[in-house]
Parts: sequence; structure tokens; C-alpha cells
Amino acid sequence: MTPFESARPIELLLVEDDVGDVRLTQLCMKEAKVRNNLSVVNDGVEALRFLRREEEFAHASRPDLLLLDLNMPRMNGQEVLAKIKEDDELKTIPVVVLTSSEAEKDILQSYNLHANCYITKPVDLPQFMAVVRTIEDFWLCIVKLPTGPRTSSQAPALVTA
Amino acid sequence: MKRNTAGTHDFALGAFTSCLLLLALVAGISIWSDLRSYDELRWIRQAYQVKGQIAGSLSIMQDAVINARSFVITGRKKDLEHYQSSRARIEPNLDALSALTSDNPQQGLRIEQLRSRSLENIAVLQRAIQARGAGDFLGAIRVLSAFNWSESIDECRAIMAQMDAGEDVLLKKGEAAALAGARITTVTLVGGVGLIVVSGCMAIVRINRDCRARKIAEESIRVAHRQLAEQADVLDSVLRSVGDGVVVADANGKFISWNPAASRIIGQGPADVTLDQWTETYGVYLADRVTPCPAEREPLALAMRGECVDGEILYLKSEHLPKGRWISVTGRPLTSKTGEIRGGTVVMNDITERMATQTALQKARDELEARIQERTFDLARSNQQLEQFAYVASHDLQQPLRMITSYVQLLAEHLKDRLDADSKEFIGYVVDGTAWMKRLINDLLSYSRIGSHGKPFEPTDCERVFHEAFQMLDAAIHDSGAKVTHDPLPTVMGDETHLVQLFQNLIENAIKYHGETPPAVHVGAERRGGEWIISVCDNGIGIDPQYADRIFLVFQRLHGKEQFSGTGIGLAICKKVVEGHGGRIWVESHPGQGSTFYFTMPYVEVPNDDTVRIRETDRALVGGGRRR
Repeated sequence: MTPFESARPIELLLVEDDVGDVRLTQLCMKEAKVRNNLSVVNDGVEALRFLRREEEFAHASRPDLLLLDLNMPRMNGQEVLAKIKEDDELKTIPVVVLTSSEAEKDILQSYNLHANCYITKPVDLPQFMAVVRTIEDFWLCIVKLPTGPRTSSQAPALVTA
Repeated sequence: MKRNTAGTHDFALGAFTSCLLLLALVAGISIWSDLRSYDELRWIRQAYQVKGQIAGSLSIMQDAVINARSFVITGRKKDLEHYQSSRARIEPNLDALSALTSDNPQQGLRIEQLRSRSLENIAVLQRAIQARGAGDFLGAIRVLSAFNWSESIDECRAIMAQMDAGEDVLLKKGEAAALAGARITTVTLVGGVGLIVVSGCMAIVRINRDCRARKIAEESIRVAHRQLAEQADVLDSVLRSVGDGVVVADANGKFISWNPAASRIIGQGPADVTLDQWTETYGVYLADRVTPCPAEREPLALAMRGECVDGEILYLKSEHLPKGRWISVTGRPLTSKTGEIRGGTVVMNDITERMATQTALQKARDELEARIQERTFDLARSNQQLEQFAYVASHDLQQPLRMITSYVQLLAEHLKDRLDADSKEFIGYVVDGTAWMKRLINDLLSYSRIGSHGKPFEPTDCERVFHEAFQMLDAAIHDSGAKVTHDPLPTVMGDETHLVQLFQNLIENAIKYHGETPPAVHVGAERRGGEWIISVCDNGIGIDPQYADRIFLVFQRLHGKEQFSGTGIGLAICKKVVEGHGGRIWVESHPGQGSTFYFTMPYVEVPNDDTVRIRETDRALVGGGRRR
């Protein structure tokens, strides 16, 4: 990351319907090393609207990383994944599938739909926290995230070539 | 025999003909010979006559002389008459003699000589007699004495003797001839008769033999006739009594036999119709019951053409058989010994009942099949639902479980200063409970996944399976110091993942449930008949035989969680995998004596190149009706 960009907090979008799970994740992310903004939507439809900055999400910032649950009402995670990866603008956003399912079929399908990785949520709290830490370690520190087109409101004063 | 009798006939004919000819010949020769003899006899008789005449001549002469002398002496008139009668006889006698020997000139000469002598003698006598008649006795005596009577008589005698001799010669000749003739006749007769007799005998013998032979032949013909008649009777009664219809037709299609059963089966007797009208007349249809049987397919027609028909099924329906009848027809040509076809014969078996039974059977079978299909489908469906349920349940239970675990732990974190030891202990139990539940759910998920989205069976090398399982258990083996050995393992048809799971579970158990001594595990493989028997043998704590069945049930354990880890799903999974592969699993063990787990895998001759895939439906059958 450029020094300039490291100043900006990482935008994370969590797509998760279960409130309890959301809370947990929020708790974990709060203690993260890297500064981050965690936005939350509760189902797939909202997720797409957020990503496309439709209606109430007009001022939403484009996420640098997507944390996607699979089991959701209306539109489940796989569908969201498919739609995101079809969209030219959105497909560059790395998607981490974070779900309780261990099913081979879910794993396979997710990767077929070009999920960037698939993580099973551990039952145990300490383990869950460890996983989240690992996610942020990996995705936010080690991995280089693409810089996508930004909204006018976020345009930095200086742009390095 | 025929040739012999003909020969005999000719022979007899020949024999008789030759006999007749011989007879004729014999007769002819005899007659000729006899005729010749008659001739000779005539000459002989004549000779005797001559001889007699000659003798008579002499006596007449002598009579005349004596009578003349007597007269001379006596001078009696009587003597003179005697002399005159004698003298009168002399000439005729000589004439007669002459006549008798007219064919013999020699004798004629002699007769003339006699005649002259006689004349001489007579002349003398005449003189004497004249003299005496005149009374000159002495003169007569002188005349008589002057003549040399003895000489004259001797001369006459000599001549007569000559003549006699001459006649004798003739006689002899004649007799010889007659004798010869008789001999010829005799020989001819004897010979001829002999030949006749011989040939007659031969003919008789031959004829006799022939007659006897003929009698024997006739007898055997009679016997054969009788047997034939008996056979015909038997055949007739057989045809009458059999239940199958028998129809025989000659080469022209005319019926020469039609037994009562045929009439019953066909519903009518033989009709005077040509071959191409049979189908119409008797109502013959093909097995579909609607197509009339084409004339060239009629079994009898085929048989008449030399073809064999076996079990051809036809349907009869006509005004005589309104309800219709199923028949099974077998036909064969009738061939003579020389191989030419003389007609055909068919046997009809009424199979109406059999067809009805078959139809009913087929219907029942179809029904059964349909019901089986239905039930299989239901079973498959319910299985599928069950597995789906298990899957979904396990899946959906994960989430709330996570919530419980996580928030209880969160709570513990938040309240950790305000909680006393008991509370902390209680929370511990909650967390343990959820952890255990998680394990159970996971195990249940694994269990339900066996047989759900399994791949089609492929040839799987168990050596490789073993090594994979071995590697998965690397840690456990290392920690327990276990020694794991194995026999050469076969290749079987199966799902590799599940087989790895199977081996892994069994070996893991073998290692886990050890006693004091470090575990020693041996995996063996033995082929018995159509299957492989694979064994996992350990020196662990053993199993009480009364629990040998229970341990294969889901979540069944024989020990507490503290003693040995595990949820008790391992063996249930093993059993499901084994049974899914068409085998069976069991254990042989005693407490303290280690355990040997056995499972079977069907032996399959596995081709090297192609992979053989079993369709999932078949796999379901192999697995005993599990869902696809």
C-alpha cells in the first residue's frame, strides 16, 4: 500500500443476515490492527444496492473487501457472488465467503463463482476471533487490494501515478 | 427266393420237356427196333417154314417110295391110293417151297435140283407101279431094285440139307438181328427210363424244396401281415387316444389321417378343400390373433415342403370355434426310405390354458413389477428425503450452535471479573456441551454424506487407500508408537474417498483402543470365492462379544468420553461405506484379546485400461435400496 492510502481506513462490507454474527464480527473488527470501516447489509438484495450505490446507499463508499455469508433470505450469497462477478465494475472487489457451512458443495460452488476465498466460521469464539484476525492479517496487510474507481467525494488531493 | 423259384420253374419245365422228348425218343427207337424185329421174325418164320417144308418134302418123297414099294409088294389098291396121294403132294410141295424161297435164287436152284430128282424118282416108281399094275411083279421089283434109292435119297437129303443149312444161315442172321434189335430196345428203354427217372427225381427234389421254401415264405408273409395289421391297430388306437391333434397329409395335400383330437381341437373334421383354402376353412390366425395365417406359413404346408416346424404358436377361430383356441404346432415331413417327400404330418397341442396362464402370469408380473417400481421409487424418495433432512438439519444446526457457543464465551469474557468459580464451571459445561454438539452434528453430516453425492464406482487400489489413511493418521500413529503393517491389498470397485474414510476409521480405532502395550495393527486381505475379506487386527483392549452388533450403530460407545475420545460414529460410517460397496462388516473379539474387524468387498475382475462405471441406479441396488 502506498503511504497515502494507508492513511485511509479500509472499507469492508459485511453481508450477513444474522444479527448475532454481525455483532461478533463487529466486535472482532473493532480490535483490528488496521483501521477499517465495517458496513453491514443484511441480505443479498441490499448488498447489491449498496455496491451499486442505489437509493439509500447513494453515498456509500466502495468496499475494498467483501465478507459474504451464504445463507441469507431473498437472495443468498451465491447469487450475490455471481452478480458481483458479472458486473465489470464490481468484480474486482475481493470476496471472502464467510459462512458456517462446511459443505463441499458450497465450497466448490463458491470457488466456481470466483470467490476469492472461502472461510468456515468456527463455533468457538476464540477461534472465531483468531480467524478474523487472520483475515485482516492476510487481506488487509499482506494482500494488495486493487484500487477501484472512487466516488467524487473520496477523490484524494494527490494521486500518485 | 423268387429267382430260385423261377429257376426251378424253368428247370422243371426243362426236365419234363426233356423227359417227354426222351420218352418219345425211346418210344421211337423201340418202335423202329421192334418193327425191324418183326421183319426179322417174319424172315425167321419163313425160314422155319422152309425148313419144315423141306422136311416135309423128304417125308413125302419117302412116303411115295414106301407106298410105291408097298403096292409093288402087296398090289393092294389102298397102297396104290396112298402112293397116288403122296405123289400128288410132291409137286405142290415143291411149288410151295419154291414160292417160299422165291427171293433166294440159291435155294431156287436147289429146289430145281430136288424137283428133277423127284421127277426121276417118280418116273421110276411110276414104271414100277405100271409094271405091277400089269401084274409084273418081278418086273416091278427089278425096276425098284435097279434104282439106287439110297443114293437118290441121300442126294435129296444132301440137297435138302444144303437148303436147310442155307435157311439156317438166314435164320442165324435173322435171330442175331432180332436179338440186336431187342438189345437196342432194352438199352434204349433202360437208358431212357433211367434218365427220365433221374431227371424226374431231380425235378421232384427241386420242386419239393421250392415248395417248402415257398410255404415258409408264405408263412412269414402271413405273419408279417398279421404284425402289420396289429401295428396298424395299435397306431390307430394311439391316434385315437392321444390328446394332441395329429393330421397327416400326402404330397397333394389330401388328408390321410385326422385323429379325433384334431377334430376336437380344430372344431371340425377334414374338409375337402385345397391347401390355399385351409386358413380360411379352419380359421387359422398368426399369434397376433388377427392376421390370417398365409398359406405358405401353414405348418402342414411347410412340412409337406420338407421343412421342420417346432412349437409354432397359432390361433384358431372359426364358426366352429367361436371362443377361439391357441395351439402349438409341430410339423415334420413324411419321407420314404429313399428320402423323397411323401407328405407331411403335424401335431397340434391345445395351449389355450397355458396361454391364459401365461397372460395372467405376465399380468401379475407386470403388476408386481409396477408395484416394485413404485415401492422402489418411494423408498428411494424417502431415503433421499431422509438424507436431505439429515444434511439440512446438520447444516442448519451449525449456525445457532455457533451463536450459543460464541456468545456464552463472550459473556464469560465480559463477566469474567464478576463470575465466581461455580459460574465459570457452569459456563464451561455449556461450552463443552456445545462443542460436543458440534462434533455430533459434524459426524452426523459425514455419516449422511456417505451415499448422498457419492461418485460412481471406479477401480480403486486399496494399497493407495491404505497409504492415504495411514498418512491421515500419521500423528496418531506417531503419538501412540503404533506399528501398522499390511498384506498386499487388492483393487476393488469403489469410491476412494469413502474407502479412505473406512480404512482410516478402522485403523484409528485399532490404535486408539490400546491397552498397556503399544498398539500393533495388521491389515490383511484374503480372497474367498467371489469376494475379498479384509481384516484389521489389533492387540488392543478387545470387545465383549455381546456388544459386537451394537457398536456399529450411530453414536454407540462402550466407554466414556473421558476414557476414549470420539462420538461413536466411526463404525457406523464404516458399516455404511461397506454396505454401500456391497459387502458386510463384523468383528471378532474378546475382552483383553485384541479385536479383528472384518469386512468384505465383492471381487471384480478389473480391466487394466478402461474404467468401468456403474450407474447410480445400479449402485443403489448394490447398496440394498439406498437412495441414489
